[in-house]
Amino acid sequence: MSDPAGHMPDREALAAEYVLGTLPLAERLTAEALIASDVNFASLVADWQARLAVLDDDYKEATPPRDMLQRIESRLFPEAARPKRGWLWGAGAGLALAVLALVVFLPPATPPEPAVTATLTGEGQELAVQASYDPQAGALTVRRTAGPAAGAGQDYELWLIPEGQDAQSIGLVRDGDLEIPLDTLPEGATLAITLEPQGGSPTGVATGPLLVAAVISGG
Amino acid sequence: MTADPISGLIAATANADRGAFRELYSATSSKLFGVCLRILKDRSEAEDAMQEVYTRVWLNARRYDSAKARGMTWLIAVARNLSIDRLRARPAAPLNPGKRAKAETGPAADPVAEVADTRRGPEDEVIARSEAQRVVDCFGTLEPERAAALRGAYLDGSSYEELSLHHDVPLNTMRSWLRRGLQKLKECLEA
Repeated sequence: MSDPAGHMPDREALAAEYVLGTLPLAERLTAEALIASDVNFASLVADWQARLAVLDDDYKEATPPRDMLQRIESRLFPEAARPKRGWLWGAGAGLALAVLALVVFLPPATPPEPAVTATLTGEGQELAVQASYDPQAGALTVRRTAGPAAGAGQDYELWLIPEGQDAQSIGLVRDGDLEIPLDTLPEGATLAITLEPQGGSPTGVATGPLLVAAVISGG
Repeated sequence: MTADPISGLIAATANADRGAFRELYSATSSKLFGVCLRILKDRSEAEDAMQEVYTRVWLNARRYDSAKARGMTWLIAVARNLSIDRLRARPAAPLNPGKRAKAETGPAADPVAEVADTRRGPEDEVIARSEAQRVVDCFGTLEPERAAALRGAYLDGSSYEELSLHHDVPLNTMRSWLRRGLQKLKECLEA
């Protein structure tokens, strides 16, 4: 958004407004994706965080419920007695997005490597995209389940963002099922869809707005 | 910079030290719960958010860089960002300026004074005081209403929409107000 009086480059304004907290969700998600992928942007955010942190003093303390730590630990260390590299490994990527994500795992007791189904959603978005991963077949099947098709001259581009790594384009979501061979869909990975020019981002890096996303997690 | 014990606990947590994680929890959970409660204004949602906050702290502790932020500043940023994301992801409730925007998310009456009079929390002992004072002074150079809006936005996680209703100005006006306020703050701090 241009602002004649603001005098701040858009990038910097986005960083400042992200820290301030006023942005709508879609722009917050864009900022969060940039923090993860662009060190310069991340450092703008850190600078703004440092400038505004003095306001943190105004947050009053409040005592959380007594069993809170227990709840957190049982979530993080589900099998404390039998230490095992559980789901938490790698589940960290973009947990910011987890509030948007509806991720369904089959019950943990079911046979090895359960299938994963995730619905990619975003606030104010009619668009919903379902992604199902079958580890046996090594295939991710993606389908638009709600909302309009991309407009003329545009495409929905699907990105896989393994934790701490750059987004990789893995396909364009048009009508019908999109089947993508995928050796693994690690927990903690993010699936996201951006709106791009027809044929997908010309640069290999997302250029359009982030529409919907889901983080693969479980428990 | 003085010693920052919280920072040390985050570093130990990054090495999967569960004991350190517990210590970190007891040292910081009241403050972070206060953050979640103030932004979400709903106890059970704040409790859910707390679980996510500490889950994220455990998982992302290795991304914390003590050269860039005090431990408490980083933790509060995690709690704020997560709570604001949750707030924004809520199904859109009809905004009622008479009720919600004013009663719950409106900034305090004299925020500049409040910034200036801010009670020193324990974490302040580890903040370089002169730096904090400079920020407070720079807030003081902003127009009162603009400082109020900035402060309300930061502390309560108010959206542009809520702020524009509360201050009774168009949304884009509010946005350029706040941008100018931020810009002025930055210039003052760099002066």
